[in-house]
This record gives sequence, structure tokens and C-alpha cells, in this order.
Amino acid sequence: MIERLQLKNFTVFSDLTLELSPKVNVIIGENGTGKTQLLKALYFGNKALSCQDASSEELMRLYRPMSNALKGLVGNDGKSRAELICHLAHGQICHINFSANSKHLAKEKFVSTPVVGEPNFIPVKEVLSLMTGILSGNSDSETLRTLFDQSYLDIAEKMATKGPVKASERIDQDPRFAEIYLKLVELLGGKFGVLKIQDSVNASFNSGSYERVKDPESDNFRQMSFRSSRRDSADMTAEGLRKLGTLQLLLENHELDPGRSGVLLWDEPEANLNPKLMRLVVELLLELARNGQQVVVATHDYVLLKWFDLLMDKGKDDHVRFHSLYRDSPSRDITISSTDEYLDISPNPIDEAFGFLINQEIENDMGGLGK
Amino acid sequence: MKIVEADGFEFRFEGALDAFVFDEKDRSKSTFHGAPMKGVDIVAEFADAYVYVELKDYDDTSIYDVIGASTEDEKKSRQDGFKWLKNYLKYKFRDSYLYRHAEQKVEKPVHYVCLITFDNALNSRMQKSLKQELPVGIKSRRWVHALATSCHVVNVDKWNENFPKWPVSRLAPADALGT
Repeated sequence: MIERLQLKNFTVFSDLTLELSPKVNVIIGENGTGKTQLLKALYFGNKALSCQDASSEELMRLYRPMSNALKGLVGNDGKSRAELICHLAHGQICHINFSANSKHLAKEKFVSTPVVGEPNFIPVKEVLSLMTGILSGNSDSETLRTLFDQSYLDIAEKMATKGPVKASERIDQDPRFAEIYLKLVELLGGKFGVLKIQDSVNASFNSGSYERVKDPESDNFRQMSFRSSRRDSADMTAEGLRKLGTLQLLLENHELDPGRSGVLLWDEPEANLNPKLMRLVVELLLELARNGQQVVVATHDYVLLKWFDLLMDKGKDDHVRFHSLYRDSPSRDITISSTDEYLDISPNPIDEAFGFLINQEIENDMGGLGK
Repeated sequence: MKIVEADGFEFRFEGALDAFVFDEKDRSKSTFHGAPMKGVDIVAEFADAYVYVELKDYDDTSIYDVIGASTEDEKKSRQDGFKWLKNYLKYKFRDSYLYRHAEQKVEKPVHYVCLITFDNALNSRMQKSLKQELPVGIKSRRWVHALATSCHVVNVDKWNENFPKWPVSRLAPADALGT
């Protein structure tokens, strides 16, 4: 569980400290204030600790700087060393630094014990439809790295892994898993699956539901089994549902395992998702957090932001921290303001967007009155 | 400059011909309302328009946020709250317009501005509903002119941003009580 992230002279950040909630964190900010870069830094710090290695190649594959060198990740002054410090809850720490001339990362402090779970990063674009291309044995790895940053390649791998226990067995063994997983399957009207045959990978969607059937001989109910009514390629499904399918596959494969896995990072969950599904997404994320999963989402969406405020149940020990990234005036440095109260989010560019509409209507209707 | 205090706020209307507490309850004042009708808080008159102002200061805005209800009962209660507020604002305007009609003071366009301490998103929802029901503009072929020329729902920050010549500020509690 990540407690704190400090970035100094790193990409767009001159000096930024993010104090995270162990449960749900919502990051907002205008375009260009570094939301995705912050998510990637959290991903890198958590992944380095779980893999027990922090390499410059990994960092560059994640950020893909222009020069394809570490100097592309050094902040504006170009002179000071860039630093990334990721503190975890049990004393684990990843403190790396590098200069514009560095070829490798200097590990100032690197404590990766006790063992750290792997993070999951769901990027803005959905990945299920890209899996065939990304995971095919015939795809050239250099070409893939040109097309996608490492977060896309990692999530594709994770979705294609095989879980140690079949979902139908785990439903009976783990009621907390069952509650979240079955809710997702019900919403999707089925479930996504990934089939790997030698060099080829196929992502499919199976319409259907989980049912418990009675054994006619013993009269006992058998374990839950999935009854599929139709199978299509994943590409045939709506893009928004494919994004939720990512969550379903990660849960099914145990890659996302609340209490065991590292942080879940989700960049703009609202992209291509029907706003009416937003409530369910927030319910799922809160439920994951109740089961010990740390969650960080970045969003531009009022509905998503507001649902977190409204569905948070302090009686269930829910905790949501809102982080607003903005450019400080007059330094223009990117700064962060964090609060546990929705109404105290400031600045709030999402609500300001509604404010601009109000301004324009007043301008149209009342002209120069009062000005 | 006309200065008006109402419901814990002070307004300074630069360029106003007149501005007063419309629903005045003090019988000794010339602007005493005195009719069995609802009334907006303030009416300000300008050379080319009237502006009706209604104020609502809330501590807890969530009671009106219908989409955020987590149970059916809560949703119903919030729907009732939102509907109650919308109707409250609607009938305040209509009664005030009728009253002003009787005063023969409806010859200029009337703008209705509600100052409500919600966030911009919730104010936008209230504005949309209110505009439809007030209604704003000429809504019948038989009408010669509109009841309301425009309707806006803003919080204190938005008011001051859009009406710099009519700044509003919150009075200190002692001032608001008139002590």
C-alpha cells in the first residue's frame, strides 16, 4: 500500500508530494497538469518494489520520452537530479534519482521487503481489443514498444494469465470475491475470456450467467457454473464494456486480488463508458477498497467524482481522498491540493466547467447588465 | 449605488434606479409587501430591466442531489427536496411578477437570478428545470411578451464573477441579525 509519493525535478513536477489514502484516491486536474504522469510514477514505484528492481529501461518504456533517454524525464531546469521516492506502508521504499547524463538509475534507498504485491494499471484506451496484436508471437516487440507504452503491454499480459483457481470454484470459496465478480458478470451480461493457442491469442465475450444447478442424484446444489448462450469476439462488444471486462479478467486471474495485489491505478474510467454505468464502477471500486485494495483513479468526469462523494459510506469505513493538480501562480509549478471533503476540492476544474456554461448563459441573456 | 441587505447577504447595486427588499415585512416601511402572496427577496430596477433576486443559503446541499441517493427512500426524499425547491423558486417568481403587474411595474424585461449556495453543477440542473417551468421567454402564440426574459441560478462566487457592478458579500452573523 503506497503511503506517499515524492517527485522532484521529475518530468513536469518540480517538487510534489502526494499523501495517499489507503483506500480510494481520486485525482483531478486540467489537461497538462500531469495526472497520467503521476499514475505512471505510482505504477513504476510499486512495480519496482514488487519486482525488486528499478531499471532505466523500464522507466523509459513507461514514459517513452522524446529523446529515448533519461534526460527526457528530467524536469525543466535540466540540471538538478530527478528524484522519485515511493514510500509504502510497511517501510518499503523505492528512492531513485538520475541526471540528464545518467544511463542508469541511482538507487538511493531500495527496501522491497516485506514482499510487495504487483500493481495494476488500466490505461485510458481499452486494451482487450488490442490483445491479439500485443500478445501474438508474431508481433515484433520493438514495433509494439513504439506503438504502446509499457502500461498497455503489462495489462495485456495480466489479462491473459491463467488464475490458479477457476472463477466458479473461487465464487464458493471467497464470498468477497464472489460479490464483486458476480456483480460485474451480471452487468456485462456475460464474461470476457482469453484463449492462448501457441502464438495466437483470442479475446472473446461469452454471453450468459453463473448458475447453480441441482445434482439430480444427490439433490444437492453443485458449485456455480457459467452457462454460455453465445460467443463473440471481444471486438464485437461495446468499448465501454471492454473496459469493465478488463476489471473482470484481472479479478478472475487473481492479478487484482484485494489485500494481496499492489495499487490499482485507473486512468479516466469514464472514457467510452455510458455515464449511467458510472455508479456501478464507483460501487465496485469502493467494494474493492473495503476488501483491502488501494485504488487511485484520475478523472475529468463530474458524475464519477460526485458518485464517490455520494456513495462513500463512513459506516463501512470508506475513505476517499480527492487530489487536485493545478499550476501554481506565479511560479507555474504543478502543485497538489488534497482533501477528504468533496465540497472542499479546490481548485475544481470539473465544476468550473459547469461554471463556464453558467457564465456564457448570463452573457447571452443579460448582456452588459451588472458588468 | 443602492445597498440592500437580505437573508444574511449585502448587495451593492451600482447604476440601479431602485433596489429594495421586495418581501418587506416591516409595516412602517414604504416598501411593505402586505399581500397574501409569495415574494422574491429583492427587486432591483435599472434603466432597461428589472432584476428579481431570490436567496437560499444551505449548509448541506446533498439533500437536493437526486442522482446521489443510495436507497429508493433517499432518492424519493431528495427528489421531493429538489422539486420543493424548484417549485418554491418558481412560485416566488410568478407571485412577484403578478404583484409587480398590479403595481404597473412590468414594462421592462425581467431577469430572475437565484443565488443558491450549491456547486455549479447542481445549480446548472436547478436552472434547467426552473427555466422550463417558470417559463422563460414567450411560451405561447397568444403571449405578447415574456414573463421572465431570463433565469439564472448562481452561487456567491459566480454572482460576483458575472456581476462585478453588483457585488454581494455575506454579512457577519451579528450584522445579519441586525444587532
